[in-house]
Amino acid sequence: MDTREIVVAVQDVTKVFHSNEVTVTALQNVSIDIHAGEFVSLVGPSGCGKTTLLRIIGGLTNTTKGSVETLPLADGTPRKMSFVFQDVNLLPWRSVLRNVEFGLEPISAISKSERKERSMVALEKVGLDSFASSPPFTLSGGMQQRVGLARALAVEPDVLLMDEPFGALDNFTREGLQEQLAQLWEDMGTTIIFVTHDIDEAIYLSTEVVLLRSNPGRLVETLPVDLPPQRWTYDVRSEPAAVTLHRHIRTSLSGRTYDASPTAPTT
Amino acid sequence: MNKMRSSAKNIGPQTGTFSMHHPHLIPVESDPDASGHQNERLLMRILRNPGVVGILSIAGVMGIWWIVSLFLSAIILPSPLASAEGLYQIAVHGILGPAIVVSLREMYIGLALGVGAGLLIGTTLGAFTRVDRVMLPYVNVFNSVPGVILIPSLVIWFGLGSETRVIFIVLITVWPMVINTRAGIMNSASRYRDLSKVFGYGRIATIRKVLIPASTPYLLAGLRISMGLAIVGMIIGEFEVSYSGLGYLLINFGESLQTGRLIGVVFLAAMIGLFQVGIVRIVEARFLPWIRHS
Repeated sequence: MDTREIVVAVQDVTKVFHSNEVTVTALQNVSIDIHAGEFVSLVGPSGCGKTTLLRIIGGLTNTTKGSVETLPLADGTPRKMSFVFQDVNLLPWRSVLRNVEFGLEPISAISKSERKERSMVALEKVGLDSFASSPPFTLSGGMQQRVGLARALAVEPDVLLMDEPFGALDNFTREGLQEQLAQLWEDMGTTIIFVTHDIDEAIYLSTEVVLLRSNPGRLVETLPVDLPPQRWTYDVRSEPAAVTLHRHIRTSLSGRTYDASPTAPTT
Repeated sequence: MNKMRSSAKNIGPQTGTFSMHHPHLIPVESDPDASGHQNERLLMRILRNPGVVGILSIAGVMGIWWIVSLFLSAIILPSPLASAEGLYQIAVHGILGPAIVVSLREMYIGLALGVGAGLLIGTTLGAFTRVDRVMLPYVNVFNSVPGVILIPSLVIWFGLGSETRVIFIVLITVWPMVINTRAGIMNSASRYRDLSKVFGYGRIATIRKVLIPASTPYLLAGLRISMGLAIVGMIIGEFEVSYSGLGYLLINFGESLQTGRLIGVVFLAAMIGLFQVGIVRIVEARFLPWIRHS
């Protein structure tokens, strides 16, 4: 029996898109519980509905059938959610700092100086405090994505939703950001729901991997990632548990099995 | 110098800030073997300067104008000097100053009202789909009707005074602003929909903090068109309904075959247009460097 605290309950969610007489079932009868403090990755090929599921959890899209519930904290206050977009969505006319402040502006309880202070703290977390007054277009893609992360962190979310945030970055930048995100998550303990199609990325970051398949988008299985924390301190990829998990995910998603490997010449 | 050189490679809307982000366009200055070619290279550099090119171009056109005018009567085409003299004469006789004041006053009042109303209407249409569905047919009708056909009705309703000309300028400058603002707001609304939703922005806050700033490139494009039309509106308004202003001077000098003065005034009107385009460009370069990066 799972005794962990449920943060988001996805129950029997179906999402159907209609466009020009074409009907696409993006998600079919998907149910998952997301637990507090976990780093959950939604993994699958494009078209499996992983982004749609994230958008439904974040309230950006409605369900066709079924429900998504974000449960309140123990004291009854609603959980705060925040979102990191794949295409960052920075406002080009605002400085880096003002972009981070953007998420705090609708909250009237936060004063102007507090807003600025919190935003600076968020920028320090992602290591961009020295770029506070720069315009976003002077920053590299990876740095822009970190500003997007700082903007999401500034609202101090209980649940952070991330939609393929590193998908458009080159390999080196991506690995640097993965490490930074892993460290931030271990520091903060925020629940993170992370969409990716990169199996290595999912294993490196997550405590739990949710596999989805396409046509129609549906849940295959949920797998725990049993690797020690502080994963930036050792080579996760070559850990036997990670190799086994990687192979399992790959076969599970493709639905095919492999023969035993041709024997390597013995020395 | 570097600013000038790099922008010379980008004909069209251009500002000096461009080169800041393209340091590789800065030419290599030192070349030990080049002392013999120094003068030649200096000349090339001067010739590539858009300011110099502009001046040379104007000088060339003036030269051609002057040569052609030698073969024609001063009534058909006076020389550049005669036109400048014509302008100078009406200036010192106190005809030009008051005309400019009358014209520009009406033009800028009309332009300000037209642009303001255009912003308001365009934002409303762009942000509220239901209003847009009801109002768009009217916008299209007004936008496709040439403003001039309204003049006789305006004269009947408002008389021959200054108000009629201001209203005429409002009516022709408002539509480019409406169309452009609407397009800008709609475009930004789809682009930033998720962002404002995620961070809990309401309708009005979204319009104020996201949609309007995001639409500034569209607004400036609309403003440029409206500014051009405002000059047209000012001159036509004074052709039809006036006893003062630059348009009135044009008609007057034309009818009395004072071609030198006529061309002088035409030149002046062109300068006003040029001046306005310059102002918009400076505003754009100074305050909105992000436009060229988005």
